[in-house]
Amino acid sequence: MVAPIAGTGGISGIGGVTPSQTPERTQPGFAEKVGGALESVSEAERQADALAQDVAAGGETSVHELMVATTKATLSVELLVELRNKAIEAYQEVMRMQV
Amino acid sequence: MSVFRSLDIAASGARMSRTWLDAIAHNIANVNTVRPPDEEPFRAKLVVARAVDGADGVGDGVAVVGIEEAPGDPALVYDPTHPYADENGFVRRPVVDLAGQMADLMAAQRSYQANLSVVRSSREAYEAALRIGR
Repeated sequence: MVAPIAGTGGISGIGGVTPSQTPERTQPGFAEKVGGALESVSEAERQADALAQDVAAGGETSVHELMVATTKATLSVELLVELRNKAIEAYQEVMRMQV
Repeated sequence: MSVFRSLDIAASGARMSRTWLDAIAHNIANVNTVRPPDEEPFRAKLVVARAVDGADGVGDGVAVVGIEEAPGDPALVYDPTHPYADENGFVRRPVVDLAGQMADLMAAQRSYQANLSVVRSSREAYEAALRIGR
């Protein structure tokens, strides 16, 4: 003998959809960040330039300070170039997308 | 916190070593400097270094906080014909330990090189980090 199957309960209704919202832009966008990075790279290069000038003029700056400053400037530029490469890569990836 | 913190710290160490080397050069240059009896004899300059505390407990390198002069009595050398001899015929030699200065010179030079090695390693680490994206 087969036991009778108990009835299934009713399906609960689907909750209302909350409208999507565009989040407020509180943080700076990519362009602003790149702009800020450019500013700081430019600042590092300006400092290295000033130190180079001082070393050449026989000032108080020692050679290692100049080399550290130029290393910082070089690394900053390399970081910026990497950022730019990545950004352009992403842009081109989007442009190649099939629609 | 600076991006190039280890570079800045190594540069502070190199700057301190540079000052130390300069002081040793000055001391060795004056190892024969004799002054008249009414003046203080030349005393070796000793660089005073102090660790710089960082905000997060790691520290921010080293700084030169002062220059001290070597203590001790000057050696008296009997040389009555010397123009700077006192009434008893003694000349006061400078308070510089040449052998000690030479040993310090080696230590200061190695300290300078060690800090520049840190600069190089730090730069290589940054470059390796940049290569992650390639």
